[in-house]
Amino acid sequence: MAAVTIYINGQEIQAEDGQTVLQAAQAAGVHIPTLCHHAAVANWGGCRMCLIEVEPRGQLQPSCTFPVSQGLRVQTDSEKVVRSRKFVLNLLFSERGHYCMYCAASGSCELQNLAYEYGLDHWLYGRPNEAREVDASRPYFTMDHNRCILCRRCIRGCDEISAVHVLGIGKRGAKSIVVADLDAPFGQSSCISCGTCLQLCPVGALVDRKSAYMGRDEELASVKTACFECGVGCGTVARVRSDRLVRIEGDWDAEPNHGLLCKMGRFEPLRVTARRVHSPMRRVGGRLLPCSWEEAFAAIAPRLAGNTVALVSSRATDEEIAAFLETFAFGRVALYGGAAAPAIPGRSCGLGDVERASAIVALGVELDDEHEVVASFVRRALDRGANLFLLGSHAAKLSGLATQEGDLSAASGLTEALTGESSVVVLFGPAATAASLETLAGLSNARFLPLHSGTNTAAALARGVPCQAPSEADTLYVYAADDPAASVPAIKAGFVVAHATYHSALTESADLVLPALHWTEKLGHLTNIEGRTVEARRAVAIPAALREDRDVFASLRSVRVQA
Amino acid sequence: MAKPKIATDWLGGCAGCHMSLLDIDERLVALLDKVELTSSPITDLKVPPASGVDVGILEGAVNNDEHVHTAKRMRERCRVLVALGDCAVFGGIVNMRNYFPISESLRRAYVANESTVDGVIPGSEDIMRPIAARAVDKVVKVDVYLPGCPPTAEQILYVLSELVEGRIPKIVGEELKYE
Repeated sequence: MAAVTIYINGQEIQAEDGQTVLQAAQAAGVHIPTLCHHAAVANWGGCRMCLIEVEPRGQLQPSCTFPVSQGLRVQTDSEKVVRSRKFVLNLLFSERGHYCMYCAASGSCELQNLAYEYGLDHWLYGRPNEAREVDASRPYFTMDHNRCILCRRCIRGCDEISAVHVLGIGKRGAKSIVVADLDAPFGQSSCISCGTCLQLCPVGALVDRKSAYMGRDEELASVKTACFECGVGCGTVARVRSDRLVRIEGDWDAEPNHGLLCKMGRFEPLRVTARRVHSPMRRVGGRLLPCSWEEAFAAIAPRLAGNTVALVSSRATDEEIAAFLETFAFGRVALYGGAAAPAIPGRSCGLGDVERASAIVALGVELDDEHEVVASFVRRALDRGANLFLLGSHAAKLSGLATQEGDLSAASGLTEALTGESSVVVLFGPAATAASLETLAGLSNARFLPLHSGTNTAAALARGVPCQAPSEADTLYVYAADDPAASVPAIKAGFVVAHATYHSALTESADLVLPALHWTEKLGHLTNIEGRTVEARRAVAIPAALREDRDVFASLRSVRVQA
Repeated sequence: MAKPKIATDWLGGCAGCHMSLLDIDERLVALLDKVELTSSPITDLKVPPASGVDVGILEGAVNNDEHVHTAKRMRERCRVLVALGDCAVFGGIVNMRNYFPISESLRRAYVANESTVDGVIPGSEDIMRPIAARAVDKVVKVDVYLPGCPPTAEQILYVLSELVEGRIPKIVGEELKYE
């Protein structure tokens, strides 16, 4: 990049060729107001809030799309610029029902902030009384067209980030509205509810049902942490208030997702209805009754001998797995709530390589509900012209976009088609067979990414935890962690300990229950499917009377030695 | 010199802005040393004097023909007119009604109301007739805008103090709030 010199408000600034004036100004700390601009999506230049005056002729240009050039002179706060921005704001407010006093976005609205910045104590133009639709057909978030400013951030996010291409503009002129598909209700459209548009919306048009009116931006703390819903390990921002999780947002700065989440990571964790286990419980006369930690440990101690099978949740952090393995080294351990893809047969790769691949082979993977973020990486590759081969995979939403679909046995017939590709990424899941992988392992241009089932399955595998559990045990210890639908493993056991966050079928069948922490209460790390270590940070204080899962394992270790 | 005269009235509002006016608390006493409050909905005298006042204050949106009359009367009788609160400034929460036909709003309020049995929509010629809700400045000229839902007591005191000193205030910067 060649350096160019530009002058912003007379101040000499070194910029890089290829930058926009907005980028150069932001780098130099010069404030230019924006509205339709968002760093995560391409610039559009539609809202005209970032107008600058280009000297010497005084043309007004949007700084988000205007490129820098040697010797360029611009004014960002001239009288003409300020007058134009106020005019734009007045037009925006005159278009739809932007009434702040009953809007969920009030206090965290970019349009409102600009009106404050430019001192709009009233609106110049009349209000339209035409009611526009409120689309509440989606379970997670609503779309109020009365508050939309048509900035198209949602559309650009849908195209560029989740790459599902659901959103667009329908109708014409003043009647233009954001539509899904060919103007279908959002809930019946091809929308996958990833919530990228929701996170990009600068106003109160797209509103999260759970967190609406639960606190403004400034009242919610932000804790950067990791998603526990699958093995991708997306970076999230937990928004919390008074030790309660209010909302989950994608972390724009985090690898590998850069802000993208899926419905399982963004919305479902706030919809868990299972009851929390608040204290240790012992079965007395057929009923589970609360007891102290010491009573619980005393009851378990004599059981930690002989044929003990201990299952560790795939939702456990790296540190919890390590502590668990230390405690249960005397018994037989296995993975709970996860399934491993076969061993990587060749060179491994990351999710960034999926996006840049010229061909993608999906072998025995689940991309519809379990790995939707991975599906978006695949879609971005498809947008760049990649070929997709879906073999033995569940990916109904990608079906139709694939060059070829079939079962795993078709893998052997692919080598010829793939030889000419510049880069091939093979995504393979627990259902992939070693045979199907072997045929592709011979390709020199192929790299492999395992899509294990479960959250921290990669870490468990790296520490030698097997997926298959024995079928019988004297004592069965199930560390289910915060799996809200923990099931009863098919293991015959004389005494069952459930170490779980929620009441479930598992706790109902257990002889003793220990409370586990929720992911928002944990400090630790996860190992994602790429082998990347991601950090989980504590967003919410540990409830009174509960103990860190790691400390529980340590206590069990000491009571066993004493016994 | 005679004290400056102030009159207030309300239109389609919730009285919250007048509550905020009362929230000026003990500082009201000092303010009333400097001004004469001739009339308001919360004093004995309700109607601004025909002889006129220096400052007229209106709360609420204009949403029936009686409000149009009240707004015009205040405009005629005051030198400086203040639109107090979001409903007076923007139309506010009252504007939600405009998304539905007036007949539908009346039916919802008087007939389809959960607590109403055998409801009847009032229809005498003697009572006001509803119109589409609008900001005060869509009916009469407004000189000072004080948005907020409600404006804070501090903002109201600031605006009145400036007016008493003969200055026309404008709310800007951190003080400007729509809620």
